[in-house]
Amino acid sequence: MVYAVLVLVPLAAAALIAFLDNNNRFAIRAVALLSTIIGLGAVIYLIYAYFSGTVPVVEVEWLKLVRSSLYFKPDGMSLSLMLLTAILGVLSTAGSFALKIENEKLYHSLLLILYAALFGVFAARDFLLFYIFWEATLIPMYFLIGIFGSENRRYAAAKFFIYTFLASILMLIGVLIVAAVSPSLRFEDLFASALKLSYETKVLAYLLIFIGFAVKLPVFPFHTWLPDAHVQAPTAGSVLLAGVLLKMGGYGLFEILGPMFPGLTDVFGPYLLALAGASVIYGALAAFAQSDLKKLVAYSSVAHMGFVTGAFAAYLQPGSRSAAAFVMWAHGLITGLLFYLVGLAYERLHSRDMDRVRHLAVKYPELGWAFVLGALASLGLPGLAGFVGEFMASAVIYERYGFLALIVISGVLLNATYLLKMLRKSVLTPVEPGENQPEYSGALVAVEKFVVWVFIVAIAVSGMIPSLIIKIAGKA
Amino acid sequence: MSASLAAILILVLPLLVFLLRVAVPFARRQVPVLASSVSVINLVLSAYILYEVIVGGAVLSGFTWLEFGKYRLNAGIFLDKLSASMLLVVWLVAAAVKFYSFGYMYGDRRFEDYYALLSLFAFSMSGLVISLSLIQVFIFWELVGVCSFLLIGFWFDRNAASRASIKAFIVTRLGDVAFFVGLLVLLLSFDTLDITALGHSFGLYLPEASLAALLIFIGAVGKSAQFPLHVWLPDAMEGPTPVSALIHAATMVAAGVYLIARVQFLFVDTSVRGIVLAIGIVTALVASIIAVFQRDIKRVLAFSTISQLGYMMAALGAGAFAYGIYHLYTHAFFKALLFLAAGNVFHAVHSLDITDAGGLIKKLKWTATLFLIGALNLAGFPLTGGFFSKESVLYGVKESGFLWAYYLLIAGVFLTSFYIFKVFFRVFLGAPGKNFEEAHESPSVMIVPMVVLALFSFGTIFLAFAHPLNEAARVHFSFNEAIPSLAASLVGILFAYVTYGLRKFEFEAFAAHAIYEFFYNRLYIDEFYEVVFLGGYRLLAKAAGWIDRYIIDGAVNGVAHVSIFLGQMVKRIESGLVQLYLFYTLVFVFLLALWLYWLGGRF
Repeated sequence: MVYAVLVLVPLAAAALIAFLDNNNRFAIRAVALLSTIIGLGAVIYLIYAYFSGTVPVVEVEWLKLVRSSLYFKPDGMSLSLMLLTAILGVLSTAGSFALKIENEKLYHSLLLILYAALFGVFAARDFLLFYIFWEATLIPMYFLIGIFGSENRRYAAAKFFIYTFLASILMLIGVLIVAAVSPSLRFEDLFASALKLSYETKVLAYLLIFIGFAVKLPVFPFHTWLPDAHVQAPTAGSVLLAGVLLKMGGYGLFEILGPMFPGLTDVFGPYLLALAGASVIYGALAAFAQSDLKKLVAYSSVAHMGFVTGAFAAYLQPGSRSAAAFVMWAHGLITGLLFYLVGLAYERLHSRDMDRVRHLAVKYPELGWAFVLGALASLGLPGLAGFVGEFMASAVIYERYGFLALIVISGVLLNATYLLKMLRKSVLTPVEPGENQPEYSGALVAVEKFVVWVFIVAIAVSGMIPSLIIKIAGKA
Repeated sequence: MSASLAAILILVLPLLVFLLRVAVPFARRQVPVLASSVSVINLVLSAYILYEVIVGGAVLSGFTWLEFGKYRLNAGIFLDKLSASMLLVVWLVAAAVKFYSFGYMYGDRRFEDYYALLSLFAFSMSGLVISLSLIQVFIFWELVGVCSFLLIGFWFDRNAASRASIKAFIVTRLGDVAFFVGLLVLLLSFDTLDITALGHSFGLYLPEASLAALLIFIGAVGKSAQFPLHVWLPDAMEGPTPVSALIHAATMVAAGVYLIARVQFLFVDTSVRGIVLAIGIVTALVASIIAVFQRDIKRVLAFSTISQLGYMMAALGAGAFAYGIYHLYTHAFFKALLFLAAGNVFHAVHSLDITDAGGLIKKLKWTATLFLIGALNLAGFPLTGGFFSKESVLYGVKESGFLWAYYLLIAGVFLTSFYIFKVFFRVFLGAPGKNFEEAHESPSVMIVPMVVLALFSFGTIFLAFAHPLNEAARVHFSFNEAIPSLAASLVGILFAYVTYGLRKFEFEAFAAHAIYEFFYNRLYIDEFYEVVFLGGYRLLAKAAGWIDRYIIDGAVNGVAHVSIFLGQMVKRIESGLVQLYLFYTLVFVFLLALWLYWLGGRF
């Protein structure tokens, strides 16, 4: 029942919006916001049920032919990511209200379809079901980038689409290899059946599935779709793309690939760690080289997700799941905030270039200081969410690999370099007299301030009381 | 009221002041007064805590903050003589600085923000001091770093200020990464980060403990501005002068020395202690040599701080932890005093260049007297707090058997008294300098806090006889033992009088000379870092950006012929791609069904 609410309410709302008049903005917004709030309520109910041990498990016969069923059974990591989806859903919907959008009907419908698909991805425990939701996230995202994006949106949309689509085909093939010897497509059965495969087959399946998730996360060198997609996507698209869509990759690693091949994950561990380190160092260096704010934040995602890959390399260590879940939670909120702020700045200055977006701390104090907080959170300032995840991930990686962990831990220093550079250029440095600068106009409106504050409070609270999230995500 | 409740209040009150400024727009104007009142309340509370701890012994209480895997990390309150006395020093200096700032910062566009940040700064330092566990120390350690970042860059409209603030953050962060790794080493080897539990654990003789000690020391090298990570501190004077007083005295740089004393039980390995000692000595000497050649008063004081921190580190390295902390306390008072006096000079003549000033004693009687008290303390003149603590440090180093270190530190004493009296004689004696006519003494709201600091700098003498750390650490040197350093100090003062007091031989006459240039430009260490590390990093980043664009993405677009494919796609994107996709998906699902059906038959 609750899963039907999570998936069908946003879809129904999207359909309802399609029948509304495009000029009736209030009704469109009300329907969109209400359905995301219902989603948030449903997730909170699920978490409550989870702690009292009565989380509903749904299993309905479906496509008997392929041994698939409508099987929903979220676990801790699922729930933490569903909560993230729900919060970012409410915030990105509300946060779009002040934007000037031509076709608001389509925009909100697409966002709602995306939420529905995301809830499905995290709740499903049947591979076919999971795959359908997984693919279903692509379509609304493709249109959000392709229709509502900026100048080069078509190239970015197509690249995003083809890149991640090819990756999910590889993932599909990999899982089908396992499914061939499995009595059903339920995750449990797939995991048990994976033992039956020969070593070579396992390795083949492992690599295929890994690439599928690695593109999504993204892991170096499969990341180049991300900066393009982010730069072109509209604000809410970027928030959700970085906030939740990337987490599907980390979720897949920990909830499918890891349990399916725990031994192989350990065998490949050193290579995974090398990729994690490359993501961190390379992502940070590339971020430092950017002058476009959105690109900078996009590359910072590559660097931060390196901590998830690193924790995955230490998959067998107790605590690695909680660590990865917390890194994803924190990154979802922090990067969500940063993309939202870049969007707010763009709305006002029509530029994302650090040489043109300047002196925000004085021109738009709320925006500027929120930027400072977001950047500090992103560089892992203790007391805010980012630090806890980095510390937990570093601890498990160090436990497994000793001082090799330094290649990932170096991110603690490297992330500070480009984020401070961003602060200095865009927030602190005044405009030189005589420099050609865009007009400064339009303070933040109430709804924008509200969204920024919710982000900040969530980042601060989960940084100071991390057990709130770890209790959800770390529960086996 | 129990001591732990008082400690909680000490943390909550300044944090509330900060949050008030952030979240309650209409309360803005009340922030400075509230912040100053809170600092007085906290001063009383920390005195009360110190009393309770001396009478009733240490207080510990805590809770589990973070639990994952097999790790359990605690946070809480740990009050013993060390933390309680440090807390008192922090709030004394913080209160003095807050009152002084009413005069110094009045009229600033962000007057209220300034007080909110000062409150957060003192809050963070207090949290660090009373931490129960090292993870908690790290959390507040970073907060202290961020506060000094925000305060050094307080006037961020000035390019130099925002540059300096970022330099401070990155350089100290370099040390913080080592600290971070040190925590991981400890956590893995001892399964806890609680300070008391670590202190009582077996295995402190294991190499892991020494490794962790070394890593934590690197963190302290960054925070306490030791060579070679000292470069951020001189630039930090770009912040408002009262902030410099706070950073150089009781917060920020004090954190490193305090941390080493806090985890002194890790430093059982003499080779690790030898490294601490060596770094301390090098820092003490190099910084005092550089200080001799500086012209800006605040810059002299900055290098003086670095050098004095080197003395403290040397004491810690010699195993004389209590003496190092003693010097930290006396230094906190007289260095804050010197900085505030420098602020008065700037207030009066709008310049900090000593060659611009002269004869100011006629105009700034109070400031001159207070500066002199600070200078006498710094030079270790008898019957000042600085004298006792410096002698303690020297005694500790001598006792540890490192005689070479002892003699080097004596040489440092000569340099110290020379550079500080060079400033005193040049600025306050002799013929009037620039802007002399308009110069006038600062208001009493600035003078009174300085008088309090001056009194406390004498008050620290009592610590020599009733040391807060332990009875055994009581100072027990005889005046005979103090003769070498006393001689060095007096010769330094005399030399300064002859050269600068009588204007006979001023080093600035050789300003064009290469040797003078070399020392004046801080041995070109900053420039070296700039070119090698910053330049190298920029180059690497550029390379990464280029590789990403042309090689990795080029491979994506090129090898897979995606670019051509995309080109066609883009032309008919509205309909083409998604239809194609749906088609593919259907085909896939069909094949999937077929395949599974076929396989299913075999079960």
